[in-house]
Amino acid sequence: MKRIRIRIGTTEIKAELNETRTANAIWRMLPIKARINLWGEEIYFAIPLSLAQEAGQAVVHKGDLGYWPPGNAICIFCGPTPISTGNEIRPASAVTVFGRIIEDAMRLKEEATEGMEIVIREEDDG
Amino acid sequence: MTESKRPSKKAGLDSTTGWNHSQKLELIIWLLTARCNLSCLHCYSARFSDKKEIEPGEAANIIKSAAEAGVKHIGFTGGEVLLRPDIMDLISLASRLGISTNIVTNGFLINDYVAEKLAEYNVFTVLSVDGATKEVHEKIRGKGTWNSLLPAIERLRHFGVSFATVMAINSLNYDQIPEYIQLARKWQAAAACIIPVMPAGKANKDLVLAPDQVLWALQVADKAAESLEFPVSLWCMPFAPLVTRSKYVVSDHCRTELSEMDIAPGGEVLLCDVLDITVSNVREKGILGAWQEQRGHPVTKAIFNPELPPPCSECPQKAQCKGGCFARAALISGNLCAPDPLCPRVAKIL
Repeated sequence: MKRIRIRIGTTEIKAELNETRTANAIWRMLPIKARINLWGEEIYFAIPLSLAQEAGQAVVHKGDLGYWPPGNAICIFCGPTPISTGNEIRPASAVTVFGRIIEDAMRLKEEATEGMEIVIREEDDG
Repeated sequence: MTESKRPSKKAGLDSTTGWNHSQKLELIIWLLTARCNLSCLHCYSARFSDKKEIEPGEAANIIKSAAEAGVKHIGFTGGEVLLRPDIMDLISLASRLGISTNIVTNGFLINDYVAEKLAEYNVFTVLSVDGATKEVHEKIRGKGTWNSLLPAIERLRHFGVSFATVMAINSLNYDQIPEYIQLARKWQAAAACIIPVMPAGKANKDLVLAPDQVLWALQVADKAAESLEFPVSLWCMPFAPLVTRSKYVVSDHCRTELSEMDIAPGGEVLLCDVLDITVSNVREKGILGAWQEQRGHPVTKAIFNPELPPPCSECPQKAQCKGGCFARAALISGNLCAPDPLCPRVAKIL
């Protein structure tokens, strides 16, 4: 299982990647640095990686890491988005889930404001 | 709301990606305030009512930076824009800097002074009129609102202000479209504008039209425009040319190329003024910085460079429509990249 660390500001949490091709492609481009956007309780940011949809999901779970092909973006789902109904977590459109946070995802959301830097790296990389 | 007279647009597509790298900001739709003297059933800006507005001095600076960025037109909307004490100062400043303007208003506050200023600055004025009869209009916009319209129209005509009416079509009023177009003609409006209510802000989903109702609305609007030889402007229905034939009918399409910025009362730049996806902020970045951020935003890319699914991929209107209204797709279908759920081809009724 490939493990990563995600840091925003002073908050860093661990996540693990699944066995999808999308996860492997993202793993190969680590470390990733970007500026974040927020949408409800979703954190997202563009990365220089253009992939086709591998296993699109219209609804995801809290803590899921998704890749959104229309915007070449990574999405971190910490809770409902503005188009969620009830407690579901609904991305803007389908994403390929390529991993999940294994700690409390809301810790990241509580730290995050628009435009902050996010750093994603391999777990044992420093 | 969007506005009725958009500047002409020039395409500059990259031959390899199809993505327009040379977009210029030409049009700003500025939702200047969420405050209003009415409480309409379908108000989409009510969702901003607890947000702090941009202060007058800062608003003036934004107009100056818009002029430096080459903006050609600003559409002021709300809320009720005439509640902003600085609205005429902003319009005047824009005019001096070579930017044309329009306002969307309910007309309540159009007195002689306001009408004279609108004429002086050549402000195209869009009056919100939501029915062809007092009964229907007031059911949507509240008691006493119909009788305030007529003096406003008299004043606009008296001072020579060019104006149009706009009807937010919904389940309570769409069957009045033919009479509505007749009324706009009788009032000597420049055009009758029609926009479908979106399920945003206060608008209940029961107000939102079904695809067969929208198809009927387009057919009768087309017929009325042609028989009355009167301009009808269809807003936020980029699929309309699949149905309409009259030369008096025009429809807008916002996804053909990126040249518009929608600003919320607090300065947030929205992907669309009915959809709460923030792509930048003019207070933090200025107009040019916000424009650069909007252009590079991942959601902007998704909207302007879409991979169209069927039936859009086979549609004769796809080059202009590009899947239709993404805000409606997100709000109704729960999928920003889905085809416009009100399009009759998507609904398989055309």
